[in-house]
Amino acid sequence: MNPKSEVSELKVQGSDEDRFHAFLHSAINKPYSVNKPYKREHSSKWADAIIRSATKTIAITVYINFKSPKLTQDERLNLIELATQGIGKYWNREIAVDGTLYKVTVTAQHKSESPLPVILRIEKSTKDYGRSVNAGVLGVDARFIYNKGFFPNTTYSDDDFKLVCAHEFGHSVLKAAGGISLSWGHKGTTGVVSQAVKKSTPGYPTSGPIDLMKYYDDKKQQVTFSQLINDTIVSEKDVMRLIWLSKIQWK
Amino acid sequence: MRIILRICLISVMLAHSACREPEAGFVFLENATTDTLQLTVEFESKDPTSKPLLFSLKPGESDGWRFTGSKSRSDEADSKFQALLIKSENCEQRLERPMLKKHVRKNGAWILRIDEALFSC
Repeated sequence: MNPKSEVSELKVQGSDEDRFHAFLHSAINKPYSVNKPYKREHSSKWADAIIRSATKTIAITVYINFKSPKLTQDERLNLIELATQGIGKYWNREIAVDGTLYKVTVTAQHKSESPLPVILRIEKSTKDYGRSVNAGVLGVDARFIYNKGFFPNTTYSDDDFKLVCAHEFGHSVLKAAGGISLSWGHKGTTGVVSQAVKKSTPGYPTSGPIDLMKYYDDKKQQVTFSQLINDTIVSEKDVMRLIWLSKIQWK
Repeated sequence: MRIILRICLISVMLAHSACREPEAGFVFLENATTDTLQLTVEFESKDPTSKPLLFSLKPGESDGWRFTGSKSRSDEADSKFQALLIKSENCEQRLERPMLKKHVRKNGAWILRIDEALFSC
């Protein structure tokens, strides 16, 4: 999928790197001045980015401390594999920076020293859907729940878990780059504490991309489960937020 | 010191309750017939421009939707799910909510199995 760029053009003088940074900062409403980094930009201890100008590719590695106190080794490895697949599936995309398309890949890796701790859990009950959570606060455990008993088959459980992991991981990005309001408020679509959709929040789009980090009002417009799984994608701006907080290496 | 600990505890509890995903339920429709089915799922909607869900299922396939709701209503399939129109090459049938309620079963997600007992002409 290659959705149309959502970020408007901005003309900046200077080197390719300067233009890249000026454009990216402007797109996500961050101040930018050469050699005077904002206190939190490019300082994350859990995300590294390598930008290759020649190939127009950006490879981001995010480090997550996966904990699994109640899982067997096989269960743990399976859930880490699914979580990393999910983050890759929904966070990989192209972004347009200053008129140039960059192919961004996001790879999640386990690292026990990461300040992004996640508890992996399996909900075996068929009664209720286990709700995952991520406050996005560094050092506070997030919880990614695999709903094993809830779905009629393993494919659905796997698909749901991948999507949930990608979304929950996104809370850490939004919190780090935009604060609690952006993260907990799902980019303006829900109340910050209540998590209820706002009156102004639209229903799901009947076709086309579904924003990974927004909520939609399913009472206004529904989508099928397969659309939800196949058409959801991270927005261009949220990828730029991840780049903004990553430690960057230019090659 | 106690006050600081209490503030920290409350903050963590608030964070957990605030960013937990909402109560969700799922409804899946299973095609247990030997025909390809065209399905139109109608919802009660507060948006006059909302459109029903349209999808097709080959024999053996299933698809559905997620709905948000409260735990207190977890004994009920999506309350907005009002009617289902099922079409095959030779048959067409419309099922209203009372009939749907009789046939949908809960096994974690809500599942409506469309077989010849439910859909036949």
